[in-house]
Amino acid sequence: MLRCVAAALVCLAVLGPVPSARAQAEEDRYADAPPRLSESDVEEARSLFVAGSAAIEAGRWADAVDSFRRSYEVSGVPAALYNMAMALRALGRHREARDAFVILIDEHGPDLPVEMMRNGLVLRREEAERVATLVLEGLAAEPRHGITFDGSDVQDGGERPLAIETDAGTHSLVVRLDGHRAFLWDGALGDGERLALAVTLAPEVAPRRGVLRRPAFWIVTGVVLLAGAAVGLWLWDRSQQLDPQSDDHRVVMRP
Amino acid sequence: MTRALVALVVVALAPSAGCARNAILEVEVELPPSPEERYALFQIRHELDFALSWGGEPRPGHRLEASGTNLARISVESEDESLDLHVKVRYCEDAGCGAPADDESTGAPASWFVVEQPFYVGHRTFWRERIEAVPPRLEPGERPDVVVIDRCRIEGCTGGTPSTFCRLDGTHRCEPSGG
Repeated sequence: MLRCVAAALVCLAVLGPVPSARAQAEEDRYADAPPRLSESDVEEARSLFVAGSAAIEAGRWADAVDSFRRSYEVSGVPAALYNMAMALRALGRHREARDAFVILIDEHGPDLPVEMMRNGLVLRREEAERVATLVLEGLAAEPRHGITFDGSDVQDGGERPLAIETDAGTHSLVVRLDGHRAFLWDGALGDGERLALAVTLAPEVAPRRGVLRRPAFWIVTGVVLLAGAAVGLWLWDRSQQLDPQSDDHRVVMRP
Repeated sequence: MTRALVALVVVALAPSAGCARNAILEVEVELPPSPEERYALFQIRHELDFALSWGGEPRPGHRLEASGTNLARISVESEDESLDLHVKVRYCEDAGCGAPADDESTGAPASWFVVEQPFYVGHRTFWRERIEAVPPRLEPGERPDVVVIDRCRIEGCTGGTPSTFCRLDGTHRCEPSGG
């Protein structure tokens, strides 16, 4: 039963809208689908595969990628992976397409139909050549840096220089290191471009605390004000007292 | 630190009622002339026995003119309204009354006054006195008469030259009115 379902899935792949996916039409290859598949898994994978094909027909490449990916995740059928890689390629997501072709060849190579294998090898090379790379130079090996590329965190594994693979387009980069000001970069990369970027992290200068933020200032000011107030009150109080008219002969009676 | 600041404020504010706490009595005594060289030494105490020697004074006596009068002006300050002033005016050959003849026990001439309650806090009052002549030397054992200056003779707190500075109810015009 499973073999029949798998065969149907293969037929869908062969008849699917992606021309290069027609090479998948070798029934025997799909007879080796993971034996753990249940009927429902096969049915789900088939439905997803059909949906992916329909998305391609409608020019909805991103939907196609999602459907083929889920179909592959459920079934492990290389045709779904192949179609997903082709859809990624059409979207210009060359890094992901390359990775998909790498998996296709490395994990399914011996079982792939000849034509699919041949196409896969060519496309893997082509996609690899179109992957853009941003090379971060000047990073110290330790400590590890906090790197955000296009809003996503990049794991700093310690390799130097640190290479970040991406696709052509505009990108943004933030590199952070404790005690340093963040390094910011915005720029564009072309297909297959490899751009070396010198990352300079300036030590963070502790902001000078304004005099108004210094406790000593307020203490001194408070003391001065209080002393001034005390002197002022004392002088005012003195001014309220009667002064003798005779300066040369003055007697003070002590109780 | 906080306690010190609070203490400073308290010390500064505590005595500062903002009102006068003292009273001034301006003493103006018209001294008599003396053909001989004489000095009038003022000794002012409160509630001290006239018969006792009151000790020296830091200030020398007023030189009496050979003819005519001169005026001795003394400002006396106190914060106690209840005091009676005892005033000795000693007529001495020496400016500091240090001559043997100036010894009170030898009958050196002197005038004694008791000024009744001349102080009113916050007010300036005046005691004006005229001494017509230097009194004669006293016989051994004799004492000068004590002249009592009634409190109603103490000028202040009213204009003009009234005959008395007390109200009809007997209170001084520098005292708060009872009514």
